[in-house]
Amino acid sequence: MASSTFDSLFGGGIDPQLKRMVALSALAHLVLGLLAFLTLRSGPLPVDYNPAINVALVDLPEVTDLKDVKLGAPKPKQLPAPQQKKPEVKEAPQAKKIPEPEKKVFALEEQQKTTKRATESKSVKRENLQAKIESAVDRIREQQMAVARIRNRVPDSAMPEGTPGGNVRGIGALRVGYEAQLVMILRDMWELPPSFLGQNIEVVVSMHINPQGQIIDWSIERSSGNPSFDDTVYRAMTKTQQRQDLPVPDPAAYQLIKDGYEVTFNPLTFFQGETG
Amino acid sequence: MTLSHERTRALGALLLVVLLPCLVAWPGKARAQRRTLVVTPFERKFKIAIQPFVGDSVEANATGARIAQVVSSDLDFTGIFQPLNPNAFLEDARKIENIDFTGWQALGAEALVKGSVTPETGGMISVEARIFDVYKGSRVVGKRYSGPASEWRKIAHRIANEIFKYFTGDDGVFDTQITYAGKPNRLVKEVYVADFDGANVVQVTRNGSINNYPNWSRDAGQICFTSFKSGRPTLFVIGRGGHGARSVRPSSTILQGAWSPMSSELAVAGQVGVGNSEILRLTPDGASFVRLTNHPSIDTSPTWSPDGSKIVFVSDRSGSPQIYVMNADGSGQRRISYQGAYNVHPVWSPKGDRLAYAAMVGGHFDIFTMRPDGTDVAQLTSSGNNEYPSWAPNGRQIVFQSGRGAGTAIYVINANGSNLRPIIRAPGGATAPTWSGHIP
Repeated sequence: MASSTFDSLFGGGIDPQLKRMVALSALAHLVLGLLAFLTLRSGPLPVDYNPAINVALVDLPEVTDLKDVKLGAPKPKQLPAPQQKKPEVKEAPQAKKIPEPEKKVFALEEQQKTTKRATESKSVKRENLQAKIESAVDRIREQQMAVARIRNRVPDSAMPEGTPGGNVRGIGALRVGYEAQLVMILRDMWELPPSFLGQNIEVVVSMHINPQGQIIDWSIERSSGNPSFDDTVYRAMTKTQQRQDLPVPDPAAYQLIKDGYEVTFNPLTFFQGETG
Repeated sequence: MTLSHERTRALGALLLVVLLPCLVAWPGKARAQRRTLVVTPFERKFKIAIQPFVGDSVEANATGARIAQVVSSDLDFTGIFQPLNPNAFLEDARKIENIDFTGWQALGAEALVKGSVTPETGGMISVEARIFDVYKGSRVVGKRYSGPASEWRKIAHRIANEIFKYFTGDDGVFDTQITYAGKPNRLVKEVYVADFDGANVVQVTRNGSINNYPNWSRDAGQICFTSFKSGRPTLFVIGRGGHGARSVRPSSTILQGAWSPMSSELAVAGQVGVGNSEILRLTPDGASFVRLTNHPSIDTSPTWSPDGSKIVFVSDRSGSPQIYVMNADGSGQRRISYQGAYNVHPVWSPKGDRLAYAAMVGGHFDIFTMRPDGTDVAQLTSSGNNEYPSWAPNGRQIVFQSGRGAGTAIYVINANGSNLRPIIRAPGGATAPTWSGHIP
């Protein structure tokens, strides 16, 4: 049939192999044209640039995670639950409260929800503002926590969740939150004459914690060589050990820290404060 | 034979049973992993409780109270210590045994100072000072000082030095002085000396002329200064107490001088012949000199590096006053200040790690510091007109003249730009301060 059509168009005497190839080519073009037609008719996927709240969450994943762990208050309103459809959304496990990448997909796919979200955004913003005001101290703590983590030189993100040095979700997050509180107390207890600030000297302390959070033993493992500086650390550790209000590690997180800590006191960088 | 073989096998099995748990446990022990925490400090002052020193008489108690007050203000002066309010102290100042350290901890004190004053014969006093570490729960320093009762203030400074040294590992500056040029009236400028905190001002020169740029000798026993007593600027040397003034080289015009930290030599800015100002190195008696610079531009304000190997000075050879450095023999002259169009009065820190200087910013001068190679410039002041910096011997503070409001006064600031405070004012103004070394 195709051959006869071909013959009628171009006359006989053409190589049959050439005829087959031309026919196949025509068929392929036809299929591609059909596909293009169908695709163009459905149009491009709608893109939503509106919900700024998603941007905020993407910007501060760790801080949000840590805050969740510490305060025990997830922020469901920042990630409104979709209304029982779209299997993609259900994929998000409930333990992961803030899976940022999924949120982007969610924003792309759920165009019709953006209007609803816009109405919610006012209340969300208000809550965010309130949370900001209420957690001013927490934010400072989190920044200090981040600094401490960077200085720890532990490749957090490279390790699996929940393992020592793993990322900040699950048990790892509990551990990081606990350590941040501990470092904050140690810093608060460390009364260092400002003459030491900016000097790269350090004392390393070995310390063990019991499940109740108390320091059961500690010792100066490596001296700075400066007795005056060593004494400041001695006083800081003594004061901290005497405290009855030390944070209690989560039992699961305790398994990650039961082998003890190596605490380095170094004034090279410092938090500018009241002097002046 | 067979029995023995079986025994051997049994023994092997037994060993396996005993050792296996150990082998299993071993890797677990090896896996024990301590976590690392890094603690960085807050910037805040060190809290110390200083109780009034006590005695057995009203007079001794009064002296003791004054000593404690001076120790307290000395430590406060550094910006490093925060003496606690004595009104909050509950413990008897006489109690030197079984001290309630938890009570002092509750007050926030890290350290505690107690002392006593005992009058001796011949107008002498004996002062005992005890320094306690509140968290060690023990005395860490105990010293007895004896001297004329009139020298109670000096004893207090010594005690403050002891405390500073113990808790910072550094020498204090409480046994140092500051010399400066003060104007008792509009037409006259005289050289004065005061304690590091501006107390005990003593007038050194009384020639009714213009006397300026005083500078300490290495042992702080003498001061050189420029005087217009003869009608033109010449260099004089005088004892700290104002005795033995002499002109170093009466025939030469010398604008400014600085003692070497390693010898009795002087680096001066003076005229050679009818030329302009050059940097010269002068023998202590002024009999001979070595010319270090030879340039048609003005070279002035020489000061030494702490090891005496280099001299930093100001020259306008590049078109505007800038800071230059050279070896003490005049070789290797090179410019080191490139930030700003007007940089003057350089002085080397005692540790040699930085230079302080004055730079013109927006029509007025401010105090800056930088590394000796000209990098890492840091601005310390930002208001008023601030010139003539000079380092404290421990390098932690800088004294300088500052015009803020009415008249020019002497101010002190910590080397990191904190703890600014005025220490000396004079009726017609006080200028060009220089900090001494430790005075024996």
